[in-house]
Amino acid sequence: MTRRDVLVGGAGIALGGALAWYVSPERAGGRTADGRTASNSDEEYVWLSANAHLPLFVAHDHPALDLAAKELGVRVTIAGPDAVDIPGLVAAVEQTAARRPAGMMVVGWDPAALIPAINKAVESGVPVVCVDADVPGSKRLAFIGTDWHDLGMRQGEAMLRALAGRRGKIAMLGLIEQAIDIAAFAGFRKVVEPAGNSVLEPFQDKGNQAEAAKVAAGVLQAHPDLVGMAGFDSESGPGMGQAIKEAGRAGKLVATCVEAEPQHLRLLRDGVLTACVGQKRELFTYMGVKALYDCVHSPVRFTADDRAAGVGPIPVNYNTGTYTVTRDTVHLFLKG
Amino acid sequence: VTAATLAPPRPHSRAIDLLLALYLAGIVVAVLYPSAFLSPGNASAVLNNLAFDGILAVGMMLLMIAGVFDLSVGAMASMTGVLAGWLMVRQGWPVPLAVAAALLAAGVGGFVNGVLVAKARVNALITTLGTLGIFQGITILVGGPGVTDLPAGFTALGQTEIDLPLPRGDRLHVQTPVFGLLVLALVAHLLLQHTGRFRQFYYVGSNPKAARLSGIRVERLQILGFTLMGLIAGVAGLAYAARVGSAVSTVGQGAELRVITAVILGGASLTGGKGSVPGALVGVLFMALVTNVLIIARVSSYWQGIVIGVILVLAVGLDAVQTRRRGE
Repeated sequence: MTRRDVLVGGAGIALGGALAWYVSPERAGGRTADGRTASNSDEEYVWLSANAHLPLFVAHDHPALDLAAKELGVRVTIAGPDAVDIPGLVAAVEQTAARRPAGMMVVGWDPAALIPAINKAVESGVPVVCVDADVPGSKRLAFIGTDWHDLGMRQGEAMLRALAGRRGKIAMLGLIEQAIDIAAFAGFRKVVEPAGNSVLEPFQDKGNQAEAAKVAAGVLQAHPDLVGMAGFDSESGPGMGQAIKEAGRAGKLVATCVEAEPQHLRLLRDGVLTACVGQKRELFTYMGVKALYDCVHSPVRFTADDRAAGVGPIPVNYNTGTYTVTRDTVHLFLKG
Repeated sequence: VTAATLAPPRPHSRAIDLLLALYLAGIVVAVLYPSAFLSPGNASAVLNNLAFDGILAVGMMLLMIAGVFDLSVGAMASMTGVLAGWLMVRQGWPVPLAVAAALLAAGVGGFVNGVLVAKARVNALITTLGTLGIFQGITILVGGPGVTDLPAGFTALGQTEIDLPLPRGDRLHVQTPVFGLLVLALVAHLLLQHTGRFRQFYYVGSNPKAARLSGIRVERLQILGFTLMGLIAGVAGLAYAARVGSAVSTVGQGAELRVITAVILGGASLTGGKGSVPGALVGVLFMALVTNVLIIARVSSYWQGIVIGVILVLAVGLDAVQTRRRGE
């Protein structure tokens, strides 16, 4: 292809573009390119995350966005990189704010790096809430999600119940550099250490099932006297389960983890895992859209100009809580 | 053949083709999304966010012209930012001293990469894959998830905005890292075009054996290239930490592949001897605009990888066909 071909081709594209202008989304209004149309409304809310199409998000968060969009008659779209790419997420937040949607939900993959981008969006008049993971130092209007310290405590309680008075060494696996995991580690320690257990320093599983299996297998070899193992990211549980099965420790070692996906639940039903602590993902994502909608439409007023006064019409914190699945209740979740 | 007799390289045609494609695609997108795409806010956001990858791409282009590449750049950028943040916030070092120490660490890291590749003859992929893990590990050991609340004297380096006037009274808010990128690119371009030492990068990349026979000290050049890459990655990490006000341990994750893709789109070749600094910038701009257009068009981010992948394969494939036809 010569440069002339490029120019001729480009001229054709430009002509096509001019024709397409007649059907352009900005002219027509209310249509999304990816087919996530919920109504004819122009009111758009955007959910932004790194790893935006993580299976966990696709299974729980994205359907909840659709549900809220249909209920409220608004448009909800998804943006953000498909990898754990913090600069990519910052760029997506800034570029989305530049086109001024009605509101933005940001999953706070990093509690610090997102602060300037969120602040800039809020200052420009776009309401922003954090869902799933918080950016507490920012001007976001609310955080809607799980309290990870509390989640760690719930896992600790499940671990103690299953140990039934036994004491010993316990290992933790997770994304050791992530703030939410660090909070959960602290919550877990707070419950299990006073009961006479010693908790090893957390092991890095990189949020990857294969890596979690490898690390867990190594931990089991290095610590044959281990009495418990706890996983803190969505991939820890399946990885730990595989290692526990292969080491022939199923039913002998107490294993708890975060999330209650089908893979986790099957391992729980089969007696490999002992308990799973699930997040109410659908709830916090659904509530995220509703909180933003309330921000825009709330009739409650505190001042003559609440936005200028820095007063938000919605609660600052929504703790959506967790639920614990055990072998006694797993059938309910598998059926669901 | 001596370095002085080497002709300055001509800009690579792939970069020019890409620039033309960008221009034309820009017209189409501007027609489709006039208010979103052409808004000063959007242009500022695109520019300010491409500085990190752009700075890395300048260094990567130098290395790839010399026929090697560095997979540790993202981890190096994270490490430099976190190290500087840790020294400033947790050890109380003054900003200039912490920045200098972090840059020194980056330079040393790059130098080690260079020595392993050039002197110990360890493959660049293996070497930098190994150091990627080392730099990542050091980053998390030193800073955990990262270091927040960086001092104002440091964040001013990344957050200061200069307003550039636009028609109709609009203004473009451009942050300092973008100007840093432009200065760095200009210096690197001038060095590659006008100094014998840096023109040798092309010769070494095209044919290292011939370069060695003609008296060029190939190993020394490769070490210089890796050391510069380390320093440039350090600058990128510091600029980003200053911009967001915190040093994030994972900021560079995946940056290496993004940057190598941009540099290849901009005219570089994995076999070396090709490319230019303006080409690297065009590659980075292209990738930034693909992301931006997909955000504006509300297209799933799945398409981002597909679009960039297709264009990368097309660009390099067409280039290979053209080269074969010319009998080069």
